[in-house]
Amino acid sequence: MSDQTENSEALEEAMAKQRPRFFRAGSGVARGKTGREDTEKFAANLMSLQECALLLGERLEMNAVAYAVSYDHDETMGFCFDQNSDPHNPDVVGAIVNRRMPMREFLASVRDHINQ
Amino acid sequence: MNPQTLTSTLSSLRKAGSIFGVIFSRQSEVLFSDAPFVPDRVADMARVLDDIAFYFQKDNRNADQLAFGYDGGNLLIVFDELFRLIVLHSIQDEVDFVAKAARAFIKDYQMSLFAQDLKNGRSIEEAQAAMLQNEVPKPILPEQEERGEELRPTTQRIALKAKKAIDPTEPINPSMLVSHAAAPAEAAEPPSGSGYAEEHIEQPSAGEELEPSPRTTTISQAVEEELESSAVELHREHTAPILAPVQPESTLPPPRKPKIKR
Repeated sequence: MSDQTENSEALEEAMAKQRPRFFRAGSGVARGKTGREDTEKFAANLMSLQECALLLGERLEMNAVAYAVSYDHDETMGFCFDQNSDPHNPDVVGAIVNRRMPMREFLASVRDHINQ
Repeated sequence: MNPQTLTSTLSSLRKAGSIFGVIFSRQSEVLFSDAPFVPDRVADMARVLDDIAFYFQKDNRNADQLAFGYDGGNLLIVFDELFRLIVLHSIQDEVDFVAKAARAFIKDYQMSLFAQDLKNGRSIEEAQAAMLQNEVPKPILPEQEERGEELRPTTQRIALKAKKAIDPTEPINPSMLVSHAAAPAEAAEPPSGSGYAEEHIEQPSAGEELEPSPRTTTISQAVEEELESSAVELHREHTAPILAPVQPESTLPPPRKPKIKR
């Protein structure tokens, strides 16, 4: 119960300050600090973006996806691969922020989070 | 915006920064392409992008900008109603600059279509309604304008295989979703092409001639006969090779006479 309270507070604080909420996915599991619902939302968006990246990459004959970012209404969502993780089973680190953040800044914040 | 202006504007964008490819499409119809790909691949890209846009739309999502990074470069896609601008660029940090330029171009293009509508005699209200309904007057190339022709309507896509047909009611497979850490689940590989038709086949629109006209047949027969006769002549010419007047006897050194030991 206390975890849920902490998660909702973290979510509210991030939404109020329009800061990115970070998540990590790998080995079939997604983790976040802003609650189950927010993590599932990230997971669903992650699957969509990965599918789009693969479909487009096939047409371009470019298969190694490094990152993906999307704007959806007033939300920015994206992910990068963690280069420090196992290359055979790499982790993905992503974020959601409730504003249209410049994509360059968004990717930089995700990479900073990876390096922390 | 006439085709020359469209071409020059997008060509200028193509030369900006580290951009190495630009594709502009309306739904699955390619309006402009300057990318290092064959036309078939560009058309395939436009179709896939249309499917992606449809997928987001059926989910009540408004993904109007996507950016992807690959080993070979970066891909930026800007959506605006039915228009899509795909930009390939090398430097990742340029993504916001490129997106801004892409969006400005699409807005200019839409305004030019609006102005063209007004020029064609539509009232402001009708032109606005047409823009909202995305009625796009077909661009006419200069040579076609001289001949009084218009571009053919866009051909319709038909899914070839029913089992992978686009189904707007098909939900995302829940097993694909990863859950919170409290409920670990096995990773599911994203199915290839799920929700999208595997193949598309373009069929000619109604009214297009499917059989050659008698005149065309007559002309093609005459051409064939001419080609056949010229082909026979070509063969005759090459049965007897003609040598140059001055021929060296041999390019090899003269044989050495063996020494006889007694």
